[in-house]
Amino acid sequence: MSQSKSKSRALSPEELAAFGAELDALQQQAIAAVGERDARYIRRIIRVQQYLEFAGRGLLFAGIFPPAWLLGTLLLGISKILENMEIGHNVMHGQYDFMNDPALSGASYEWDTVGTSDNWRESHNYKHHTYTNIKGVDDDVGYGLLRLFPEQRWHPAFILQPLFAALLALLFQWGVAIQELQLGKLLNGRKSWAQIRREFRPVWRKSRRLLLKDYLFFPLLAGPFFLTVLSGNLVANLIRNLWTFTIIFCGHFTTDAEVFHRSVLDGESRGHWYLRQLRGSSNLRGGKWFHILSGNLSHQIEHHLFPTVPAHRYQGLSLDVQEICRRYGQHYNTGSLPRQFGQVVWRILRHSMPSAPAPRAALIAR
Amino acid sequence: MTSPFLSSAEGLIARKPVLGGLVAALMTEGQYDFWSRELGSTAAWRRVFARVVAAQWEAADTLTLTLRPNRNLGQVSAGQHLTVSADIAGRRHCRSYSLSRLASGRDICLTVRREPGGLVSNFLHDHVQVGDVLELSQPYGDLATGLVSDATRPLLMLAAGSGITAIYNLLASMAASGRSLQGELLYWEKQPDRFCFTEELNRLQAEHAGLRVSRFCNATEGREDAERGRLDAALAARLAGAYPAASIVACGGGAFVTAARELLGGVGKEFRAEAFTPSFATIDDETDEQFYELVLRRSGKTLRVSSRQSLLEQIEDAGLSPEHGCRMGICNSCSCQQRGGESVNELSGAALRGQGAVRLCVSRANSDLELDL
Repeated sequence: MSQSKSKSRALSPEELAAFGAELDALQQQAIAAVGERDARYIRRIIRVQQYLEFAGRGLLFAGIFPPAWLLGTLLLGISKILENMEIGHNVMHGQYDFMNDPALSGASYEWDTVGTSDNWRESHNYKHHTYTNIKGVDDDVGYGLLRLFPEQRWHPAFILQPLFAALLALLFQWGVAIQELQLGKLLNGRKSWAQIRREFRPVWRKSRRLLLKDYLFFPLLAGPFFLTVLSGNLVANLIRNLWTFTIIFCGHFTTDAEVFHRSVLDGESRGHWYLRQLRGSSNLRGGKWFHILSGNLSHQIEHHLFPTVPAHRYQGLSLDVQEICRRYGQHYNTGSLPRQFGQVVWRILRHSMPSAPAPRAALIAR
Repeated sequence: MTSPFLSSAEGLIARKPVLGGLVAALMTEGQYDFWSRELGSTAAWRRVFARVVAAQWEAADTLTLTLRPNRNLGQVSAGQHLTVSADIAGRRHCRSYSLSRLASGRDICLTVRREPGGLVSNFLHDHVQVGDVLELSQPYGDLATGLVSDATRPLLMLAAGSGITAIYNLLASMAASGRSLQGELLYWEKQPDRFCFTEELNRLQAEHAGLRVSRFCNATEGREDAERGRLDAALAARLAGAYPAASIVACGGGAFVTAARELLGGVGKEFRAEAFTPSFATIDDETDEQFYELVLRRSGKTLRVSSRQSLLEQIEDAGLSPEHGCRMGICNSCSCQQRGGESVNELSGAALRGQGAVRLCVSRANSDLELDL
């Protein structure tokens, strides 16, 4: 029996099957209940987001007056956060496909950030959600840039990673935009410049449009107040970058989040997949608006277990999930934002230095 | 994959390059459509929204809605259909309806009969009011192609039930274009209070000496101006004798259209038919039920499907919601790429082996299948 640092116990194959079946049943129950309430919810969120953006951009036109600039920037930042997380991210997971509204179709929604939705659907919806926290398969384990787990190989360049992490936080949407290009592959020759150029084209088209919108066209509309609008837009984008970075890092890189070896995929069962989702994710406690502004990714565990269930239902589902976790001796990783963020910062700092992995926690008891 | 939602004209940008370009630089399509609706307009980037401007009773349980579409609706022509989308309990449901009355300007009329248990028809009857906005697809269907231009040939038109909407639209448009109508309209209804467009059809008959309107109703309580009788061999022989060179158009339920095709398919110069319910439900009884494996490549699912039921229904039963429209093989909304295997189109009887476009609503599996869905 190896020593493991996991707070969860290994499940026997029978327990694992029963665990999977319970979560499957919970998911089916949730999906069967989806309907009018969820449609009303997302339509209301979209309305709030559109009015916030209108008010924010409107106030910025009066941004020469400092309180108007501050409020306008804040409202625009919040509207960008809502569009990014509660609308864009969740719609692209197909959570609102049941509505059959072409504007809310997961396969075609284009969100208002510089990353293309098509790349996101590939790197996030497919790779990250299928191969969650598997080193070398899920690119979200450090984004090819950071060493967050001792299982990742150390290199002297990681000494600078607190700096990389801070830059990534400030420029997060750009990090997401180029993630799928996997520029690291250029260094080891697994990708050619021609390939990168080809893959960069759609990213460039998308980001150019958004750059022009925030930093040229809207400022131009303001005439003499060009700079106040431009600076407000810049800060609103920064607010969103910092917020999304924080929420997303707190969802996967807290102290108890586990990383897995490729070998877990060999004949992985449904229950095993659920277990990996659970152990690789962590939640954040907070109030109603905190959950909404995080796109309900404050319930990262429920999101990973049930990515196609409308996210506003996660809070309700979390009670059932916690109860199941208790019965199966699984740690339900949750905490306040400051606590979880502190753990993320510690991981970034700690693993910039050489660190040795603890023995791997077994998922299945032998 | 073509969709009636997305195949519309370029919309605003194409017509107003300067303004459209500016709007496109500042907002997305979703935002443009949101604010337009928020401000009470039906304008949209490229989707077709239409305001209900009038509603009138046509007959028992049959309502005609006059709709004022935004500028994104393309050219409509006689005999075509549109898909109407309605939000019912949070979900958007689509059904096809034929153009019926001629409306003024760019307005269009759709005539909707309440179907027992019909989700959309009941919603349109019970909940839609003048002033409401519905989404429409682009028009589709080519029932009239060639008919309107060839004015010399007599017309033999057969309508059963709601099939009258498309047929009436064809006749009314031809009359409006100044053509003198020659031939006969045979129109069946199950109940006497269900006959539509009575005054209008009587007026057409009075104005066009060459046109005869024959109504049929087999209910015990009949109707004075209606005969009894079904579309049978005797009636077909009478029609074949009277109109040897006619263009024949039949419109009605699947069984009616199948009967019309059998009896009159070889008669006259051309035969066109459109069924508003698919007719393969009856064909299925003759084939042994087989089960095959259906692989959906994009969703990564594998389903066990029966050879007796349409692919669309079975995929929906599995909890997916592929795009669809008319559910009878005409609008092409549900068309998707087949990657391998063999499917059969029940309308044409044609088998598709290997790669090609398959219309899910009227196709069934004939072997293990792989779809790009």
